[in-house]
Amino acid sequence: MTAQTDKDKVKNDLLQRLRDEILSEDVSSEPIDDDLDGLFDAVLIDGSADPDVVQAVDALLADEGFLSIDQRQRLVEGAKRGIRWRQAMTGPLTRLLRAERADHDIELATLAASLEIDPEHLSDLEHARIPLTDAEPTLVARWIHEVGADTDSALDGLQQSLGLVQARAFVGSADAAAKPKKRAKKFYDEVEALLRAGTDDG
Amino acid sequence: MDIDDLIEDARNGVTNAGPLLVSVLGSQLVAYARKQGPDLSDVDRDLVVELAIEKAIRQIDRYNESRGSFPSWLRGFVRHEVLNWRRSHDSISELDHDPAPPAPEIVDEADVERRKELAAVAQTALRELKDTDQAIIQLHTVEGIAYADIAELLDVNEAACRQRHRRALIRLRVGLESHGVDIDAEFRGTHDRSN
Repeated sequence: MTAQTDKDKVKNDLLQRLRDEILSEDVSSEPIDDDLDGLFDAVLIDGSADPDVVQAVDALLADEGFLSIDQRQRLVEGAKRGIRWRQAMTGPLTRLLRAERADHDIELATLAASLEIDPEHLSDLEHARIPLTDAEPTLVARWIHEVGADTDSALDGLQQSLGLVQARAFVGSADAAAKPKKRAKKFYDEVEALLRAGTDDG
Repeated sequence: MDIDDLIEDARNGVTNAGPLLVSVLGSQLVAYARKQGPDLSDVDRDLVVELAIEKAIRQIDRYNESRGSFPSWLRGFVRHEVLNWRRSHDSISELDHDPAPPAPEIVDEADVERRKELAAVAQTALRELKDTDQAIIQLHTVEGIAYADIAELLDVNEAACRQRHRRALIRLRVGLESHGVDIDAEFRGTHDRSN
């Protein structure tokens, strides 16, 4: 017997025993202390039972119904927003833009044509083989717009790409790093202004 | 794909992890939302689950498998969003009828700490119960599944479910007392929820 079927057996056995116990309850017997109902809710709301019990409860609550196409679409949208947020929080802008391009099924060549740049150059930028600051702020802003990335997520990612997140933590600590950071900040501000202007126009 | 791989992919922001997660758990989360919020419209219920999934993925670093299963953790987000929906719905109704602002909430740090300690003891006492007691408490008290829904899921009588749950709570009370918890002092004063 496999480990999975063993687990299933434990779950089914637990639920069957619970069912049997409920069936053996005599509801016409002595009154039960109503005062207890809801008493422990507040302290148990974030707790949980033994993992085997939780798995049995999971099994009982699983396999219910199906999703319509519209429902699935909505839930997928929520899931994608969550994933994009993680991408932006945990990685550079280029990773977000690459993910968005894949999400929207946009070919690299198509996007390059739309941005009026060489596909190889776009690929180098996308894979961070060359720094984003090698491109013009207008190109980066158009790129974000073309792949349909969320403005705030994109700006968070741009900060990551330009090293501005760490820069805040070390303000005033190294004069040598100050100039590149100043340039990066200027680049960031220009992209942000372009994106915000685009949002305001739209 | 294994659920652990899916969690890891979501943590790392792998694009496919979102739709896959919906494929694996979406329908049961919608069904769960239906049980938690039978009064919600279909549109509101779908919105609740959509927001729950988004927030769960954002906070997926906080998921700790030692504290419960992943589906159970996700159901917590659905419960939270149903509560949020109710709060916003109630405040709209209150605005319609009573414009008086609510009194500011005073948070007592010592009380918050005491509640955390009590929750830890309650979890220990819960896990010391026999598994069927734990299961009925997990279903009704923790997951918030109504007696009628438990009865339907297990194909049993609703009143008997209620009675079985109470018996489990009595044993939980005894367990808490054996851990030195004064039930009257800790719970009776604050218990204001009716079922």
